[in-house]
Amino acid sequence: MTTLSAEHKELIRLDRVGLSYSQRKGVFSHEYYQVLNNVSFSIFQGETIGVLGRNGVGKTTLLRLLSDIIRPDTGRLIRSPGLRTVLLSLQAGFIPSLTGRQNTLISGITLGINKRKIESCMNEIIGFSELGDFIDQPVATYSSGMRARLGFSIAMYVDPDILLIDEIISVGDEEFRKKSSAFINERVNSNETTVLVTHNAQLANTLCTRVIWINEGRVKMNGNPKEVIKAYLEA
Amino acid sequence: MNRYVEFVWYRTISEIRADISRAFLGILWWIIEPVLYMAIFYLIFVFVLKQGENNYLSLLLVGLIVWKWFASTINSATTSITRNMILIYQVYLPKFLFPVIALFTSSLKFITVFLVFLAFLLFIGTPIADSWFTDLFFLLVLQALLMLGLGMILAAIDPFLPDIKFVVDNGLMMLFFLSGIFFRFDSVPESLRPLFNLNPVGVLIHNYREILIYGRHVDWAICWPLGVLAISFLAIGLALLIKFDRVYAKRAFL
Repeated sequence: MTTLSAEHKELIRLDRVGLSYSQRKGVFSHEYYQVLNNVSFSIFQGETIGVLGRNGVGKTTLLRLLSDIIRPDTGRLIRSPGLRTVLLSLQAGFIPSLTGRQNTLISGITLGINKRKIESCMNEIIGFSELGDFIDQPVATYSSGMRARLGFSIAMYVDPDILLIDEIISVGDEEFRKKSSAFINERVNSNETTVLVTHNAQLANTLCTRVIWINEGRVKMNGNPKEVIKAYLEA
Repeated sequence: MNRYVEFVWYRTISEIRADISRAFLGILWWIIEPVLYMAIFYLIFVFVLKQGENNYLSLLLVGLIVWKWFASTINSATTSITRNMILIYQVYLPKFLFPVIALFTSSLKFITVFLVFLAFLLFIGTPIADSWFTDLFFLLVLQALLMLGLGMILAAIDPFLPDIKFVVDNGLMMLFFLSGIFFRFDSVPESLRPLFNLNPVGVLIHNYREILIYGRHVDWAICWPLGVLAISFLAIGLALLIKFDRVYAKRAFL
């Protein structure tokens, strides 16, 4: 099958996707790491998919594939036309010597929000970030928690068809963590589509409608969160 | 598409703002730098080597300002993709935009300095020639396209071959001495002229002087090959950046 299923609102399909990274070893020699191997699955409208796996099994690579930053070496990745998938990245394109306000504009534009929308949401973004007067200070003076808070607040307004989240629930202090979890919960419970990458099985269990367990670059299990997580924890 | 136009424009403005805010004297450094170099060359060539002529000051300034535009664009374009790898890992952006931003950033600085220089020329009584409004414009566009094309090729190669930065450094150093910044192309012996005419930057500087200082026209006989070169560079550079568009983020070189 080469076309996506319209009936089930299939947004993306990975068909035996393989991908390897190259790293320079010497002047003319490269070494290839097979990161993903024969990975197949689909994402449907309204799902919240948890991608579970230990560090270094290819989860981040998978997110880069889904956000169209890279393309597979083998196999196929079919996207529905005009699909916008965005990685919820903190501080995308921040310039340290500029203020938080200036960075909100440039970072938002970088992520694909248009200028008019950012300007009209500026006060909301600043409010959510809880930065107060610091918003007019250079980002270089921010703590890493403050930067992440601003980054998260901007990313909230990107509003893509599929939001990809990579292990960032633990941003900022307890208070802010609650707020960001509330935002993600809200998105998860709506008809929006989200892919959440984590090695936290508990989190995947509470948020996701389906869990994909990746091990050594392959899909080890794909299905009901409870069953997959049980197998994952026993492994 | 509109999204990428906005990205290029605001990224350019932000980088200039950042550049200004990083130094106490900010924008003044753009003027101070060529003036300092000019003072040194003037000292050496006029007082020590007892050379130089009537317009030596203006000749030097044309050379230094045009050179600075060329060198800073090439330097910044070369590393434009490697510098932005963190961004490239996070969001898809067409890679050819990065050398374009490098060109715009250095060009906005150049235009500022160039306007100050034009004011200086008028101040010392240089007559305004017709070619200031026609030939000069073509020459500026020609140089911009040439730099963009070369910058794209270098930017495309840099992530694969970081050594390219040393090639660029040394290449620029050699060009600095060969481009007639502190001597006139006319003073090069006739037998060596064809060789010197192979150097695009030298040809550009020579023609800027003809227009700005002597009110003459562009010498198309030695300039048209630059147009061909610019278009070839642009075609090669774009082809490379499109070919490797989604390959850069696939490599584990960071």
